[in-house]
Amino acid sequence: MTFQVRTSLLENVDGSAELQIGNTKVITSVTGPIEPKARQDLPNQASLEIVIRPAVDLASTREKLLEDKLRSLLQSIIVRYKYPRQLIQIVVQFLVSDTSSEGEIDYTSNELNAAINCCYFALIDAGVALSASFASLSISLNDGKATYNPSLVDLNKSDSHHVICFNIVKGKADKILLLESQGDIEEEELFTMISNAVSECEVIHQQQRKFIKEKVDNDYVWKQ
Amino acid sequence: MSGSLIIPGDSLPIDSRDSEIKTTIGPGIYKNPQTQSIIPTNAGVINVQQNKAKTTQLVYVESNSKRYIPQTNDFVIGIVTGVVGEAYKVLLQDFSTAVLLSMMAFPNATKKNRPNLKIGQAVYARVSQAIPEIETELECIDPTTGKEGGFGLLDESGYIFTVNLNFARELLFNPNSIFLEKLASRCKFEIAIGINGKVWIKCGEGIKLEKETSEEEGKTPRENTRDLKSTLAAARYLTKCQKISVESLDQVLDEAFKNV
Repeated sequence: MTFQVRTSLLENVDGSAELQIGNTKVITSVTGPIEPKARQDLPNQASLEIVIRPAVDLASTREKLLEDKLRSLLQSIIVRYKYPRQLIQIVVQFLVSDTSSEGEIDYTSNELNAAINCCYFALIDAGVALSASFASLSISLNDGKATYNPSLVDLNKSDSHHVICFNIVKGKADKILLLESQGDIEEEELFTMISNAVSECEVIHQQQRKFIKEKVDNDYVWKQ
Repeated sequence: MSGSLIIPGDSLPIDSRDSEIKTTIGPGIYKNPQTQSIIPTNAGVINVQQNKAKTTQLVYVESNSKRYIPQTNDFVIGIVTGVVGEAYKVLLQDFSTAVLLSMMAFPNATKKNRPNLKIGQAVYARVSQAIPEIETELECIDPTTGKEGGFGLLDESGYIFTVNLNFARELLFNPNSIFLEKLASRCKFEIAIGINGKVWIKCGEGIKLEKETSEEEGKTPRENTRDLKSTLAAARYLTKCQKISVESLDQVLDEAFKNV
């Protein structure tokens, strides 16, 4: 499982990251905490504004659905009580994504997975307070055989596909923050898949840590 | 950079249950009000400082961010953007919530004797109150003496530019920092460093308007141009310092001051 990531590439926002996993490429910006509009203002915690834009065409209900899933995840991980009456704006722009042709099933799992992982780096870059790290994984199951980060072909062949996101405490996967499943699956299969995903997410976390180390070193390049 | 990396979710290298040591938490650390546990919330370099008697300790995460969040006793540079009642509205960073600078928060200010600041002017001030739930307030008085103490209007012959927040902290807090020492070998300067990432600098007489120059006697236009050039060169030098390692510092200084 590999991904490429760059951070701080946008000048005019507080944090940004560009991430590529498989055939999905996404760029995320984080602005905040900033002054909210009156209707977004929450008296004792930060409000989140999440905007997702697809690689082609205009945002539709599909993107709204992704926004809602991302929001429910980020709401629990950002320390929102630290920024009362403030707004954190997160914009996710897909640059490249697998698009199904007419008549085929439209998948969102790879995009959701990329958005979650990219948000992590963008939030770290912006210095927004997080209560823990998190890593997500996209999985497809075909006859009980798991494929991590499946391509569109894999997804079409699969019996079921899933996105799973763990929060990472002390380098270990702690709780499931999000589990999106679609397709036919036995209960037992699901539990096996979840327990296998644990170690896989911990590997992703190791890569995250390595990358953040490089970023921090780069921020303090002038330090003796 | 030396020191160990910490990211959200890691455990802090301290024993928080040890009641013998009183712990003070700084930036990047959060105490969960429900569980009373102390966790790191930012990714950066962890710093733990204990006093000699091992009775108190300070924990914070040193990290770079672009957004400035005011804290009490920060020294900041702000731009006046408006007046509300008896206070100025001051902007510390673009698109951030404006903070208040009361007209009474100046030395010798009274209801009758008000400071005369115009929109667009810059001030050097101290954050006197920073509670997230309510509006942040600044003041231009040194709290120990009750006098001006270097705060107040920053004159317009200086040049204001922005640096990263971590670099601004280095310039202001590290007495052994070599960046300003190196700069001092090239020119005479006056500097005000705001922890909000704004730096005001003025070399010699700084940047004068043409009208002012002609009125001033004893100074040739050439000298004024030199001051202007070195002010801009100094700003260029400090901006570049953020992206290089210390070894190439001399080279960057030479480059910035090439035409001065």
